[in-house]
Amino acid sequence: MDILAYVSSLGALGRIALTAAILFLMIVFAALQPRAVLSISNGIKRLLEIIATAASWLLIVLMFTTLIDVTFRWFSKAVVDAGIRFPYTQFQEFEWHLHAAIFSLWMGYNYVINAHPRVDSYFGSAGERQRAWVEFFGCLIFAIPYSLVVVYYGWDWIKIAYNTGEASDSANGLSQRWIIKGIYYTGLWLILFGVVSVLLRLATYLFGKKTAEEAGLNLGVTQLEV
Amino acid sequence: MLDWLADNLALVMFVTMFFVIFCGYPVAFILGGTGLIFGFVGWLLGVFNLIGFNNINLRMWGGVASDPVLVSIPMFIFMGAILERSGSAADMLRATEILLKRVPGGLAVAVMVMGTILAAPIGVVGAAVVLLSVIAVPPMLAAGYDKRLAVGTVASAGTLGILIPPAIMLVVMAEMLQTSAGALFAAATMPGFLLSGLYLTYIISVAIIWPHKAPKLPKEYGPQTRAAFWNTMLRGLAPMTVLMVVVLGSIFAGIATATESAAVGCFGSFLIAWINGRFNMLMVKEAIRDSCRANGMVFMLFLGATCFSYVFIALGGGDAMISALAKFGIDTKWEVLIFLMVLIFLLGFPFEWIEICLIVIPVFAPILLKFDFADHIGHKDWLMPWFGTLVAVNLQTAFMTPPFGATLFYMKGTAPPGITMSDIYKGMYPFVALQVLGLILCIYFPSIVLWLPKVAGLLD
Repeated sequence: MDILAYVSSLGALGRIALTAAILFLMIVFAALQPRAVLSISNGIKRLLEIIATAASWLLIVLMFTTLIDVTFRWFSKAVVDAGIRFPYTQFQEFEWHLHAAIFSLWMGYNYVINAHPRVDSYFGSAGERQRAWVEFFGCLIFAIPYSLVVVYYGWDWIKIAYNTGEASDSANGLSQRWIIKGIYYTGLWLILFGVVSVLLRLATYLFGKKTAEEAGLNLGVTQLEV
Repeated sequence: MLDWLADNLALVMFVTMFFVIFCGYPVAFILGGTGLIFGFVGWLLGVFNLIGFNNINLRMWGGVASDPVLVSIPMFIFMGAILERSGSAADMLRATEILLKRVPGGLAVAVMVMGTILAAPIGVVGAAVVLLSVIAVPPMLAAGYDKRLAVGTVASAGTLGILIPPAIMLVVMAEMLQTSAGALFAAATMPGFLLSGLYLTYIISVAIIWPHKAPKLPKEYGPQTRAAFWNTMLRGLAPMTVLMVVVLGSIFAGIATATESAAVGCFGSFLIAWINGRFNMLMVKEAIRDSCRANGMVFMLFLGATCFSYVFIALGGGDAMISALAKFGIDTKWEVLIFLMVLIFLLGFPFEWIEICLIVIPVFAPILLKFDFADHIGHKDWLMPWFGTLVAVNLQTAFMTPPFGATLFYMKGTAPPGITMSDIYKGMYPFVALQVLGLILCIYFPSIVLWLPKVAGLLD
């Protein structure tokens, strides 16, 4: 935690300078050792894929949780007559807990598989190298700072939830709120990982003399399906 | 110079974002990053406090992650994915065609009826257009239909999906307008049927006036025996109709929330796939993956837009926007409404509905809310369902308007080789005209929009 205290003591401008220095070193490393860097990038992608695939099955759990909740509500009179106290509030909270887990653990993976929508009027017609430059600067200017900021401010927030033993506002709700907040916070880190993975890939292509195929670039026009 | 920048930072931010977004980098990160950069500039100029960024996670958590209504988004996407991937949707189109084969323009009418019923559960523009185009355009061309009529029918039927509930766009919009999803669902239903009715009238008139454009189907089309006919109907049409009645009926009757009826709908779509013998693990896996990906995309945009709109409001963007509009002479309620409609229509070309819902609506809806439309729509509190429906119809129009509407490109991507972009454009014009007519009717007669939610008791 000394590292975090040190980073906090730097002030905003110092933190920006530190981030820039680390990013610069990463890019230099990618230019000099493209193969090693590519295997790191692929490792991150694989990790994100495993987490996302596992999380996707929560969708089925979500469906059945909601179905059980609905069924008990439809027969609520019979349930009460039978003397069962069905934990409706806990079920409803569990539903959004599941949903929060699903989307948190997919946001980072989505970037790695190029599934975040773009406005592609220019991007769609640009050449491979131009697209790579856009993506490279986009990572540096927008994605890395943004994911760092949400991660940075997320830490205190989750620490408070843990230390105060935060629970549901409702007396009948779920306790241990820090678990789901922790999953959401993990999701924020996964976004950062996903962006770093793509950034390293781009650096090996732009500076490390790797071809687009070798670098595994995936910068096509996003297939939007929503 | 610096003083001017400090005063107008929010407007500069809004304009900058619109230019930067065209570079092609993912929108979610551009929104977040632009918010960050302008927050930082605001801090340097002394009009923003960096600790404000703490609010991104708080808002993302409080307003988005822990919102039980938004849970319906992955559920509705999942329901549509199962219906589409299991082929239940294609079965339904075949059954509708057979049922309507004696009607003039039967195939086109079937596509439109199907678009109205089925685009609803699919609820996703791209998916519905692609699906209808793949399964409906080749048979229409084979039957000798005019290709422009065929293309126009399919494209407009597919875009109905974003309007007719349970469209996920309405869930997101309800969140942004701070109104109930059920009320917005009910409000969008009649306009959806109105548009569908206008389209059907047009198709049938064309089929009667120019029979060569939409020839009658031969008697040999479809099953010949009574038993086979009923079998097709029973398998293709009945389950889907029951599913839609259950899903929408339970919401409108107030016995289930959107999330609950979506879960029931998912289960129903599993059952339909199973009854039709199309249930297998591969299909389920793909449907789950598609749904999670679409869901992750939606919520990443929420995360980016949270930062953007927080910084925009913190820099005084709301008031700045009102005074900027007033400077251009847009200050009465009708001027503001019409300005918003034109703006949203134009933005519908480059942007997807979700970006418009997350960027434009939070900025402009509060401005509209300052005006009192009670004399026109009957009650002050009914403004949001009405406005939300108008935006939905408007966006749907933008998606199918040449030359940039998103639907046209989906069509081009999936249509048979003989169909050129200019065929698609020319096919769309009559439908776009009907769409504009529908929008004007909804503005002029607000009871088209508000009648159903009033009857269902969803407006209080």
